Amino acid sequence: MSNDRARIDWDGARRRLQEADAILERALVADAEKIDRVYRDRAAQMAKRHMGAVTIARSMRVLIFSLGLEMYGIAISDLVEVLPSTRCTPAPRGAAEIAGVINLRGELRSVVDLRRLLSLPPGADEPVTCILMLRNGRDEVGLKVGRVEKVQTIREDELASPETGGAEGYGSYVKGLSPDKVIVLNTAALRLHPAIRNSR
Amino acid sequence: MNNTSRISFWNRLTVGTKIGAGFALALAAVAVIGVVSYRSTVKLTETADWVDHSHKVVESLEGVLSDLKDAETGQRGYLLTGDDHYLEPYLAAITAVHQKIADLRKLTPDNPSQQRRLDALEPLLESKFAELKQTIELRKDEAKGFEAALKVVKTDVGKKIMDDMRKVIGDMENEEHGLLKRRSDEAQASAQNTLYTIVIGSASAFVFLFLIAYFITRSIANRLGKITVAAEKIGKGDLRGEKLESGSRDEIGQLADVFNNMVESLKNLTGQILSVTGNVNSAAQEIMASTQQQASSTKEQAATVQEVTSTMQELTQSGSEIGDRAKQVASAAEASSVASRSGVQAVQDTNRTMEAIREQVEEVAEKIVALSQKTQAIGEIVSTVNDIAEQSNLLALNATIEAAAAGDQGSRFSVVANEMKHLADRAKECTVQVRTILGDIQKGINSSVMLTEEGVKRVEVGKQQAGVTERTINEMNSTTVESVQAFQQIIGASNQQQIGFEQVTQGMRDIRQAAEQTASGTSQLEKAVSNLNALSHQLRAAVEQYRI
Repeated sequence: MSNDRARIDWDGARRRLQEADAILERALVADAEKIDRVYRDRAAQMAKRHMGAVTIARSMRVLIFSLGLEMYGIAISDLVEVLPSTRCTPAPRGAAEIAGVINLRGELRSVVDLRRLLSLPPGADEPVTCILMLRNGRDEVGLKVGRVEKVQTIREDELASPETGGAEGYGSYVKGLSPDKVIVLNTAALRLHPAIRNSR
Repeated sequence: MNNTSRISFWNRLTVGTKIGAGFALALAAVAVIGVVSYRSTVKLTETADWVDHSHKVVESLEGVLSDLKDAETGQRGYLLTGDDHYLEPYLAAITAVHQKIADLRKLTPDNPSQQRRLDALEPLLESKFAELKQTIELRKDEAKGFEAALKVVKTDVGKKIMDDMRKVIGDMENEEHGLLKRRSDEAQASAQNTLYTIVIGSASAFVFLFLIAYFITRSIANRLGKITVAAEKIGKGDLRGEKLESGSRDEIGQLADVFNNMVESLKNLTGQILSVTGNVNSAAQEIMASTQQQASSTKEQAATVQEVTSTMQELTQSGSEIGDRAKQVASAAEASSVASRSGVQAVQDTNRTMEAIREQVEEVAEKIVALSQKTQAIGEIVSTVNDIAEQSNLLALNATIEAAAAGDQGSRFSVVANEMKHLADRAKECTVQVRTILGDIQKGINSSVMLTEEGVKRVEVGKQQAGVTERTINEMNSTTVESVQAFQQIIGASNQQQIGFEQVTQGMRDIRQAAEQTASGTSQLEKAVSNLNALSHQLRAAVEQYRI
């Protein structure tokens, strides 16, 4: 065994090193083949039809994010913006669902822990957390969620009824379950939650 | 009763005492006879002395008378002739008479009557000599001397004195003769007594000694005869006789007791001899059997000796092979010693090479660590790119939200925002890939460092092992040197062994000869044992003659 390891193929090693150098050189320098491939990709990209351009009846655009092991969706028409994870200052006399407050461009906004609000079991901390700023009348309130994935268009007639699987209180915040197993939240019901309603 | 008690007293004495007593009585008789003979002989001798003495006295008396006659003769001659030389007998007689008178006095000092007679004789002598002298003096006158002297002579004075003297001397002679006769009678009587004593004493001693000898002989010979008869019976093998009476406590009685004990012991001994003879018979049989066994085992021994001899020859062969092999091994060990010295040199070279390897490996580790630091820089850059991608992603999302809020006017902007999001996602995927690759690189670096560390440790271990190897080779070298010496000793010992093998082979030949001699001796022994068997049968027959 040690004998085999001792017999390293030095010529092969040197050859592999030279090949690696060449690959690195080619990666850093644009050659014709690479430029051609980029052009083909760009052409394919430009040939795509815009999803937003196609108007689908009774469809909605949804921001999809993770919370625990589940994927949730929320209509982007109810959102103001998405913020990267920030440290929340704990608020005095706050409800149990309030994670704290943040300073956003000179104004204080409450941040609600969506996990607590949905009465989910407190799992391990999300690797990446984002704060979704939810439109709340004339005000805004932050929702602390997991990782933000993407924006997707979902047809409302494809949503499954939330009454099939849902605990008491939990079901009212869910609008339905998409075929992609995304739980689409009912923004209007969320706004009626005392923690959000009183946070203005 | 008296008789028996005397016999018992007699029997109480030992034979030695009896013989001693007989000889003592004989000696006593001889002593008595000797004493008596001595005394009578002494008396005879004394008597003879006295007879001689008396003869001397008588002779002296006769001498006195003779001298007186000589003196008177000389006087008459002178008176007649007047010649002086006639006076010579006269003068000599005077001197001789006086001398003889003195001798007589000396001879008879124990006889007072003779002394008295001498006393009476002496004045007579003096007067006689005076008369003679007177006449001689008178005759000296030439003229009338003869006449005057004659006149004196004619007076007869001288004759009268002479007669008196003759008478005195005659008396003395008579007395001496009487004494002589009496002493002779005494001697005669003494001799007679002695004769009687010798005759009677000898006869009585002879009779007495004869009686003693008779009794002693009878008491010894009778009893010895009984013992002799008993001994003759025993000599014929008859041990059934009655016991002898001891009778007395003397030597014969003791002999009888001892004889009885001897007969008893002889009975026991004969019984034992009978049983022992039986044992000897069976033992002779056993000896016969074991002799035959010995004969067969001697043959086996000869065969075994033959085998051992051939084995010894093989051993000799293999011993010489051992010696040759030992020489080969010794030369091989010397070659091994040389090889081990070059081995030590090689191990030292290996040690230096390993040290160089260690330095290079440590340098490689340094380089790899530097590479790791550069990888860290790449990681930081990738982290920054990832951060930028995240922010771009969020920016795209916010743009999408803004576009949605703008309604239909924002639809085109929504497309741009969507593209932005795609780019951000791709950038993020690339950073993830770069991170994965960086993690692999880091893992490879870590394992490379660990491997180099391991390599350095192994080099250290290798150096230690090389040291151990060097010591081992040195020990092996010294062992090899010892081995060379040992093999040279083995060669010497092998030569000695060869000599010893030859000696053993010679000894085996001797043993074979001895075995052959033993075989012949065994056949002789067989003959001797059969003789012994016959002898034991004869012994049994002889002993069975004894009747217990």
